[in-house]
Amino acid sequence: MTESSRAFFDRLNDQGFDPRLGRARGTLRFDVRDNGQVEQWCISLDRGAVQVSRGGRHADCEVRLDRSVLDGIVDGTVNPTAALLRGVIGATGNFDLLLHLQRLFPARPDEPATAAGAHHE
Amino acid sequence: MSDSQVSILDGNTFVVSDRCGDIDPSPTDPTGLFAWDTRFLSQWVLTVDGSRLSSLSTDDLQYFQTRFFLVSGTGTVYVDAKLSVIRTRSVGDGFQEQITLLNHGEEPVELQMRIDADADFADLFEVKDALAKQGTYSRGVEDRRLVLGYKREEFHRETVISASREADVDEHGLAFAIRIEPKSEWTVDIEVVTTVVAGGERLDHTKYRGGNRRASPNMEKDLESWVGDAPTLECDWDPLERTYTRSLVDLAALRFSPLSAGGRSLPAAGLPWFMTMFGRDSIFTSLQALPFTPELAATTLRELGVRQGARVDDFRDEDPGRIPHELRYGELTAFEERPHSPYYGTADATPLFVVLLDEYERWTGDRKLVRDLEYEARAALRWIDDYADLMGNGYVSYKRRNEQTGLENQCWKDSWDSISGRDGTIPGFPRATCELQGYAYDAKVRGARLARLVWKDSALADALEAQAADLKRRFNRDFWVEDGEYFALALDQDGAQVDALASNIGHLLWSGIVEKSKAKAIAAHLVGPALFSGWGVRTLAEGEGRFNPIGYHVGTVWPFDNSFIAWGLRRYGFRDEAARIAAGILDAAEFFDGRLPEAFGGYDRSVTRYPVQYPTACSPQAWSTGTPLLLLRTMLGLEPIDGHLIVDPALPHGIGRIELLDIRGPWGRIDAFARGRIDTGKRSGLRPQIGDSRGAAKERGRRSRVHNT
Repeated sequence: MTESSRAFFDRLNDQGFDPRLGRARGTLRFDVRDNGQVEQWCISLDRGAVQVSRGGRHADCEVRLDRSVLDGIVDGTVNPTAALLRGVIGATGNFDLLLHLQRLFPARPDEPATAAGAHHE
Repeated sequence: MSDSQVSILDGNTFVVSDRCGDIDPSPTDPTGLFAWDTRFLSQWVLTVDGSRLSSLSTDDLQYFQTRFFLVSGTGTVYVDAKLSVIRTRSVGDGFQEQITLLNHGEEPVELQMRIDADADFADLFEVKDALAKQGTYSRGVEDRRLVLGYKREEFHRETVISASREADVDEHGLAFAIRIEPKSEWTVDIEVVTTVVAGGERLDHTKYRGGNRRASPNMEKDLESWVGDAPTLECDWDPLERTYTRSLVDLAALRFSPLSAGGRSLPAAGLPWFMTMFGRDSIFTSLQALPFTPELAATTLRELGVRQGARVDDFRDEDPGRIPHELRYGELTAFEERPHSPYYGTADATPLFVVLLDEYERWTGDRKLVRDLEYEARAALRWIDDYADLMGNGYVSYKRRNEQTGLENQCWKDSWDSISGRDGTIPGFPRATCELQGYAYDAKVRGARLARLVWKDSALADALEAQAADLKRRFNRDFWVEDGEYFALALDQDGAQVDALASNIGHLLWSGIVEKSKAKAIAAHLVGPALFSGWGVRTLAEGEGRFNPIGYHVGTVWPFDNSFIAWGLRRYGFRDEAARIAAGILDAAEFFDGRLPEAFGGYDRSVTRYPVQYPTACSPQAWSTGTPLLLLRTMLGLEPIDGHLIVDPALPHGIGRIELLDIRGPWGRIDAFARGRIDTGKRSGLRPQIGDSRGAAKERGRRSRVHNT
């Protein structure tokens, strides 16, 4: 796993709380494929509180994807919903949790910080 | 849908065929089996001994099931009636078709029956715009099943076709060698399953039987309990009872369950182009249906809320807090050639989200959902101030940032010429249409109530109320057209009034942004000759520069629009006017067998004597389906206040009695009774249409009895 994905999970864990997660509660597991190996990350959400840990446990929502796809998601170049429809992400279980988690992923890097017309102040 | 086509549907799966049940390939018409915005069958043709069959009749058993009665031979003069064929098709996750051949003759018959099948896996957008495919097709026979596939990179869809009897399966279809004894029959069940392959696995989205791959669900029972859970309507006007039942069944048909909803459903917008979640349509339909099926609102709120915008993304016209406009599942969305994953380009869904949340709480007392969605509702309210005020003048306006595939018009009247001045001038962008200001006002007022009641944040409530009061004051000053005594349709990019008289002023009454002193003039316009056709309020007033009685948003009558106008009139105490509009629309429904179209012509009622359907392909459409429900609410004057249901009926002339039984809510179950003062016993022969009498609704309903059961 490259630094970007790992840094993202680390930051999530260090932060410990993000209001954007709303009232979502449950666990997600990411199975990240990289050069024939699978690295597993568990994320637990509890009404804004976030905990990230390594290793495989059963989770409410299980997500399988290549490392390159995850890197793209955390740097904003891959849209997870489109990627799911495209078949490069496999997911089973509670999609609601994955949609909540998506709120934390950044915008495309080429987006201007303030888009035209968005915030007049 | 044209008259020569038959459609059955369930959620976002639907089949459109000809009257024999056959599907012929068409690159541009929505014929075929569709699921998840993809055409899984583009050809499905039944032949007996190499010949196609002739249709005797079709029987629409249920919205999800049709039966085709066919005979062999295509001759128009003589048909050999010794062999008949019955196809019964039920849609589910794909469809199931039972084919029965009946030999009426005295001799045994031997024949060859064949089904030819093909799938082009077109994205619905490709069918609309006739675009070419980029991936590769496959077809093969696996384990006596015909598997049609399409792959583009990892995007993988399959149609799997199998039969319950021995069949000769090849790559283009299934063939059966059949012998039928005299006066006997032969039957086969054919199953067509649509599958989505992702990450090497088949996504399990089976709606009615988790894990079971069979296409046929137990839908009949589901429909029975759906209708059974809704309040019972009894009245002395049969067409209204039929319209009511039609609405409930069509709403059931339009239920759509996104993958994240855990089997719960929300209203999709309409067949065939809009069988998916839309911010605006799903919210308006949920509002209309609240007294009848509040579960739709709960799912709409949850599913829109979880997809709320979180970042600034110009491709999707996304902002933090913005509620989605449209969600799609097809190939073009998957490859980001279209922005619908989801697309956010609408200016009304975000304030309306808060409006629905508040109205939902009033009808259900479900404060848990209001707590669960606190973050989303606050973010929606912030969006109004931080992202929607594009001109910096304190009004919600819209201008798309995705100029290739985004939507230019982000209000409900979304056609290119819908917003204009009296002289027909079309303004530039951004545009601040008037109804958006009403929705924003209402969202703030209702948000304040939720903040005080559920979130226990009185500072937020005070701030929202102050903002709402300020918005109302400014709006009544800046949008008021002095010489016409109505509100301008919009403010243009320079803040100047776009001054045509349009139906949008009715939504302003619904939102409560109209100052009391101006309400009478607005109500008079709504039922005046320029706007009111006799059937309903026209989208644009007769006499305006762009008025055209069959122009999509510039003169036609939209039933959904009228239902909210009637609600608005009731809100300001205009009982007769509201009843008059309800009467006109319900009269029109009778001409459409209880299924109101998206829109009909704005010709004067005295000229055409019947409502002229707008030539559109979208039926049933969700918010037209919800219209009779909201009109029932306005006629009965149902208003949920502090856990109680107020019933204050005002019936149109021509309806003597309406009883709506078992209305669910925090009050338990309540029956609402309404009586007109006309003597229904003396009527004989055909009832005059209820909208016909001049000054209808003179016969005002008496105060009703209310009791808990």
